[in-house]
Amino acid sequence: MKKITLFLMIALVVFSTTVGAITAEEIIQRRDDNEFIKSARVESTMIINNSGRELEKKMVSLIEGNNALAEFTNPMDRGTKFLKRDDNLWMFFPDAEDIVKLSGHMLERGMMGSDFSYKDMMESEKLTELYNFELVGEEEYNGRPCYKIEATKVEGAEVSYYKRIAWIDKERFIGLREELYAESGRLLKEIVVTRTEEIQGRWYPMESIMENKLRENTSTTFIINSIEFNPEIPEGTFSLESLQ
Amino acid sequence: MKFLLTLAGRNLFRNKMRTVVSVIAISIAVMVVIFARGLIIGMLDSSYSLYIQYDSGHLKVIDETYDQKEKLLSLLHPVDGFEGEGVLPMVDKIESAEGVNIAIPRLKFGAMASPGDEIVRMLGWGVDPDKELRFTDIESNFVNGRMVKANKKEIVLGSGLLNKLNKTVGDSLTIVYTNSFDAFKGSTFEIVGEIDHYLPLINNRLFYIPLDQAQRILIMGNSATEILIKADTMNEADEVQPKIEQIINNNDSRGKYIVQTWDEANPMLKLFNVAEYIYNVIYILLILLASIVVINTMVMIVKERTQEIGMMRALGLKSKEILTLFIIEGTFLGVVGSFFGAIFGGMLTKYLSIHGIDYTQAVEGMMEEFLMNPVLYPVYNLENVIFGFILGSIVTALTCIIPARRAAKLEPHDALRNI
Repeated sequence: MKKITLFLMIALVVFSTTVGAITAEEIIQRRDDNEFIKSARVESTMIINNSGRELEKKMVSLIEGNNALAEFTNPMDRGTKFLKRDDNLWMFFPDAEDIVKLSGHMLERGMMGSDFSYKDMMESEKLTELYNFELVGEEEYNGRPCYKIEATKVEGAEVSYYKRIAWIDKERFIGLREELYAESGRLLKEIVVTRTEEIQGRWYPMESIMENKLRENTSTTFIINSIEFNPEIPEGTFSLESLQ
Repeated sequence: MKFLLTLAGRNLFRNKMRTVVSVIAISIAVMVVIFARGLIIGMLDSSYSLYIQYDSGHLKVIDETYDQKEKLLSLLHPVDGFEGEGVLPMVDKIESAEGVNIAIPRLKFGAMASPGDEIVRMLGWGVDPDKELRFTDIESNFVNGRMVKANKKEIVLGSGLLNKLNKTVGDSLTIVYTNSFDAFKGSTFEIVGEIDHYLPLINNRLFYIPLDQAQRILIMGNSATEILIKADTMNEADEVQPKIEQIINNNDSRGKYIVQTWDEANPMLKLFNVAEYIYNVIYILLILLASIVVINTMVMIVKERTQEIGMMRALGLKSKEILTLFIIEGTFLGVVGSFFGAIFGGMLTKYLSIHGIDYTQAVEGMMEEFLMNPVLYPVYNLENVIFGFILGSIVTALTCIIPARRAAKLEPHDALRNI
């Protein structure tokens, strides 16, 4: 009888521990629930700081699954459009007659001179499909308790960054900071979320600063001016014809 | 003296074969010197001319910081005129300076085009079309169409580039580039001309658009990346440089511009300059080498004629006269050899200066940055032929002093000892 009691007690302790602990995958899953966009209409501003020079770019984007269409609205770039369909990216420039397809290493370049590469902006797959996650600790970041998660790329997955370390808010399940590394261990980029908001029941990063560590004296602030989840997107929005 | 001349002449015909071999050695050396000098001058002249047209001008005005960033094709350090008032008034002002023949603005930038999935990297030059034609030899290299016109969305490319892009004159071409605000942009131009140039840079990489169009798409205001200046000759660059600097200092208080002479602007040209001196030393060494044959001949003659020299000395010929006799013999070999060398060297150089030497296959994979005409035309001029003749004669005459002195030093009793 004593043996049975002891067994039950151990089982209870083990069971309760398992229930209480959250795995790295679960944290990422809950973050994805907040941040992963199925469809949205976003109005945003990008402030690019480059060696003391500040440039502001505004755009309106429509996102649906793996597709996105963005149009710049600031005077200098007005009319420039991006169309992303799955892994392909096309651009339309008001001064050009042809649509230009970006490919290869051009996608690694800073988007419109920013610290975000075109690939960063194109990331639409769930990270859980591309990386193996490990919960490496818990830390406070900017006064918020966070999970520190390390992600290493899944063998064979095609990603821009071999490793990522993310600080995810323990209560709101939203990324507050992320470091992006090359396979060599070199820090390539750092993104810091400076403002979050709860919109339609989900926490979303509204303002973030990206720093490309390979460039000197540059940073890009990305501000979401408005975001509408699951809007009505007319059919044919993501066609090449819609670019022109 | 006449006696010595007759004696020397007779001696030279004693062993005709030996004399002929000596003359041939000198001839070949002089011929090689004349040809090599013509070839080197031709090569350097052609390269200087290409660098001056397509790289550095006789003088180049740039922003001081641009000097280090030129390879990156930076648009952040432009020539924007005096006090930022625009490059064209600055070009006009420079052109009015004494000693300046022509001044042109160029706006250089990087661009790409993507026929299919391939990316073709290109180098764009925004130019003043009329002046560009006057500044370079590009006009004679048009195989199709014409040069771009100001204020028009037109583009001219090299044949190699057109092939890569699968385009032809009359088609439109969309180029993508990063403007001066780091924004990625695209523009479409109409192809109006095709250039077939031997320089890989122009044939495979470069395109011309009007300066105003380059300024518009790159958002560069009225700026260029450089102003190139031609004086009357490249040697006058040093004289004109302070005059341009004076004009800039008088009109611009920012102190941001530098004026470089052709050899300051391009280290390669400085190297060419040094090479010219080195080649001159090589020519002398080449003749010295041939002179060894003459020295050898003379030493043999002295050895053979030791008893004869002793006899002549015993009969009253002075040591100085013996010295003169051998110098006359050596000089004769040198002069005759140099004469034939000059004739054949001159003929060879003249022939090749018309027909050229085609290096095309050898330099096929040559770097685009290296500006060299793959067909080399040696320069033929009388001065070069005379230079070869005089160099050959003098060096041979000087070298034969060594065996002549040996002969002159022989004492009659030593020379006659072996009879």
